[in-house]
Amino acid sequence: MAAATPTPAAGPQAGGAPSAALVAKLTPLKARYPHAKAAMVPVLRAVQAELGWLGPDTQAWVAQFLGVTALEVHEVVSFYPMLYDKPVGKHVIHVCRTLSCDACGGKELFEHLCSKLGVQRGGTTQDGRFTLKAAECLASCGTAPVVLIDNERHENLTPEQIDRLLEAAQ
Amino acid sequence: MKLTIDGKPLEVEPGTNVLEAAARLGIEIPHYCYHPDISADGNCRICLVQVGDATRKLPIACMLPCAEGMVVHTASPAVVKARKGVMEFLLINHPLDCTICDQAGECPLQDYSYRFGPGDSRFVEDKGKKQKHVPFSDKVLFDGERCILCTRCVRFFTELRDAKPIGVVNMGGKSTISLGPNGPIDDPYQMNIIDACPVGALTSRDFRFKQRVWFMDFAETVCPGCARGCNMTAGAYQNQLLRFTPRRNPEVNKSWMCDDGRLSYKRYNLESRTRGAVVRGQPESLERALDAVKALVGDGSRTAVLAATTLTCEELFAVKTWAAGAGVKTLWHGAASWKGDEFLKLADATPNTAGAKELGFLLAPLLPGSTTPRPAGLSVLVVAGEVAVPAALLDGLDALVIQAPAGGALAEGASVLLPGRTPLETKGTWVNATGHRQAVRPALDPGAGVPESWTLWRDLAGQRWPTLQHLQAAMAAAGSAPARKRTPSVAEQALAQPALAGNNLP
Amino acid sequence: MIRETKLLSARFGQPQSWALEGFRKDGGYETWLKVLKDKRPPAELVAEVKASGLKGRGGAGFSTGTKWSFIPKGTTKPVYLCVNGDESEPGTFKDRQILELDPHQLLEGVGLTCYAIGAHTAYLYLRCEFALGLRRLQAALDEAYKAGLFGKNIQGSGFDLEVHTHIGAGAYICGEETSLLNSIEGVRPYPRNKPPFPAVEGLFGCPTIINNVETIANIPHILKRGAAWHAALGNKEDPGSRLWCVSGHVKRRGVWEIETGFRLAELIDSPDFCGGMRPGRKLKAVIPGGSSSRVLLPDEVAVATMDAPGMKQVNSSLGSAGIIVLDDSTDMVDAVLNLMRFYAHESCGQCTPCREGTPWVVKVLERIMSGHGRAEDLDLLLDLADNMEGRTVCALADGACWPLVSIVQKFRAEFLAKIRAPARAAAPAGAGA
Repeated sequence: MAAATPTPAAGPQAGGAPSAALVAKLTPLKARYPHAKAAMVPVLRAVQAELGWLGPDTQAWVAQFLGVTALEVHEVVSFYPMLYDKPVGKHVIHVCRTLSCDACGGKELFEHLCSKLGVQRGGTTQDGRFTLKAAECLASCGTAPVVLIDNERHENLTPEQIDRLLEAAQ
Repeated sequence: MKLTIDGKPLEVEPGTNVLEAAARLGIEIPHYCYHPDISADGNCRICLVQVGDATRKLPIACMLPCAEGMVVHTASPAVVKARKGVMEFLLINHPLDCTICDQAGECPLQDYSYRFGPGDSRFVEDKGKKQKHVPFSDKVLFDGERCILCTRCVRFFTELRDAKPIGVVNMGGKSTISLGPNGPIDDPYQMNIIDACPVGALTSRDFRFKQRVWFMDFAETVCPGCARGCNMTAGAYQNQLLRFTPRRNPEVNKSWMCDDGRLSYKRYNLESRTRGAVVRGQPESLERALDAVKALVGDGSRTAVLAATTLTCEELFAVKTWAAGAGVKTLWHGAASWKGDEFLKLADATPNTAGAKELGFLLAPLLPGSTTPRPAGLSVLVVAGEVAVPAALLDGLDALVIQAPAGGALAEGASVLLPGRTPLETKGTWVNATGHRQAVRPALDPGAGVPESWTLWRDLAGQRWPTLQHLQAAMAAAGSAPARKRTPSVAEQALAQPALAGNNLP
Repeated sequence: MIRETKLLSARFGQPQSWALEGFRKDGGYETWLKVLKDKRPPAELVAEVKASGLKGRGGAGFSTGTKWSFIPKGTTKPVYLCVNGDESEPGTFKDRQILELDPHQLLEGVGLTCYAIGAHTAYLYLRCEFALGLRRLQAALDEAYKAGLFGKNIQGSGFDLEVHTHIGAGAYICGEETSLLNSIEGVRPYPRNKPPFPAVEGLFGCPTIINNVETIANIPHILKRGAAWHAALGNKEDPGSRLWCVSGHVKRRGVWEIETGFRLAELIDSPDFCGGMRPGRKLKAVIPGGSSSRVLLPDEVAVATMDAPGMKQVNSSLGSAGIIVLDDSTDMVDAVLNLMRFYAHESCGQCTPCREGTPWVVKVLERIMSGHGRAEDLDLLLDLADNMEGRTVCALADGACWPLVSIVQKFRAEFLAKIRAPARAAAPAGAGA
């Protein structure tokens, strides 16, 4: 599927509370559940989309927002691969490395990106623009190789195509 | 309902799990994450058993409810192999720390490896690395490599202390236990996680590197800290106490004790004490000292006794017997208090107030809450044991006799100082606040010049009890030891539930 | 003859197939409204689904109607439905098609399922990587609410139903139903020991049914056309029309809807479907049920039929219908290492055998790949699998063991070649056994 525009303003920041506009959107989420704590992952993903990553201050904010302890938030953030407790670049690239993709060009695509961006797996470029991560199966095995850029899916990628996508990313 | 475990029939009430049922038959099913005083979590997988003929899927005994007609095998070939497999998995990333790990010698990982493990290692890869010797507080140290993620520590706090100072972080093989951003653990019962931890991942900073447990001497006794009477084990080396650890008693303290009680062992390694007797500031033989006491007490009409409630029932009975024979009609007991809580600590900071009361001692005058009058014409006070004496009680006294490990602040003014033993040097009985009559056993030998305290009162009284047992028989005959709730001995407990010691090995 | 069906996928190709307007034009939500209007007894619906023979499409293949019937009768606790859209089984990409291309079909199924089990709240759990799917599903949900199809006292029926989307954050284990519950509750998503079973004590401690997206999408069709109609589709013992995913080394990869019981070889070879292997290549292996299934050799592929009994005959499973086709360019040792890395990465770490065993397997395979394998390593791998399978809290370890054991056993020669002559062992041509 073609990509939508990448998530705006997702760059490394100092952490802390999300914008008032986002808080207004998140508050009704809590009402979906009998316990506010159940909004944990949706809230964390939404806050991460705005702030880029989930530093200790941000986690503390989420904790008080949900009425839980900072440790309970940390337990959850440290578990999930798609919750980042370390700063990431402006754009996060996930390359699927599971069998169907790896066997159909995914491995070569990943190596291409490592050398083009000058990073190891998990690393961020010097200019802070891109973080390159490996992902496990992204549920699009029929259109391998598959990549997420800022959580939007790109399929059937050749090295040339991904180069163009990276150039287009602001 | 009826079921069979390893061919043995058993009847249990609904809701019993197979692990507990097997324990009743004396069959021990090894376990780590299960603990009789915390919830079951089902993560270690070492308590796998076989039900019927099914060997492909083996359920865990700790979360398997007994069912009518169930046939359980705890040592079938499939179970033995699976158990060996779990032990192997637990050991592959476990560091070779035994030579420096305090848990060695009382470690269920060592014990089960020996009994159920594969023996040789097939693992030739690099072990995973995690953080070692991480301070969780000034009392507890954590080692991530030794941790088997049984989560007993996390669950101790969440289930028993309604708190969550530590949790599990990361994922998969990188998982480990961690503090939160709020910093170190701050809980007056935190050191219990050291005992709950079945491996050397949580260790006592106080005990760190002090001594190997197989060189130590252990006494199963009771904590002297308060009227709860937590059962404990006192560990000593070369006649110096090194630690207290709780002993499981389902009726009194479960598997726990408070940190204050646990660390109070230091108090009982005396630097100096009274050996032999002191009469009017001069060393004297015990015989002459006792004569001096008799002379001071006279017909007993102007004498009162103040006994510490750290004295055993036997010691108190000896005091009472002497008093009766010596015409001393005023028997008081002392008191000490601290802040109690809703968990184990009771405000009464002494272990045998109930024992003193049942023998007829009254709360001494001038102590908080006392309505006991101070008799007119009191001129001799005999103090038995280490007890705080209200200053006003000393007014107008002609003589003060103190029997205690050390005379303390009052030693200078004492007419006679007799040697005394601490609770850690004494054999006898204490009655706790819930009426449990519990055995006190000595962990230390006080050395020369400090006879068993009850013998001094026996000799003063001219009684002829050659041994403590004779005194106890006299107590029974006098009806002074009414049948009350009796804590089963450790051996009796073991017979009842051998497998549920919670891995708290003495 | 293998033939495409257009039941679940009937509307996929239409423009704006995800919008309410087109869905209603094609008769969408009629079954939902009729059930509400007729006040059909919920127990009847459960019985119908049971009789239809529908099995869960998430991978475990348990009878859907039977699962629904485990909700305790007369419970006073709220009952929940959780829809499992966490689709993360390698080789599987079919639920995503429904979410992106016909979310209303799923939503109608959600309504009917909740009505049948007595649930008034449903959570639609999507993996967070399904950005487009979430947008389409949320938009469809908003449309449905606006049209009075969900909410309080739906169409005056007296039946209340609140439906919410909920997202994950990148963990395969959350597709395990009890892990999904913990994920929703906002705690570390460890699977739970059973008993208690979710139908009795599930989400927030209440009776809960968890069903896969594709499973739920079947419900409107079954309740519209009847159990007998469904039971007659495809294979008698394992009836239905399913979405099959094919990836790997075939000419044409994709998702096709076909009734159960077709021949796997036909799907791969037919020019109307996958069109055979890539030019100049021969078939080497097929993993038929998503990665958590036992591998098939070409001679087994030749006879395999895609239904539960057919898979059992070749000692494998339908799983999540994620068919991975590998040709003779594949280094099978590298392939199994890739999969074992997947399981080791995705292991939640709760229980001993999986947490310690899966990374150990990876380390052994890496050592073999790097030329430092030993003769005893193969038996070691098989024994580790024997000590993991059936010994854990959940089936992730089982899912790892099936491809591990079957690939080691069926391609033993390739492993031995790497061990004996590590420097010279390149990807060998042809299958070994």
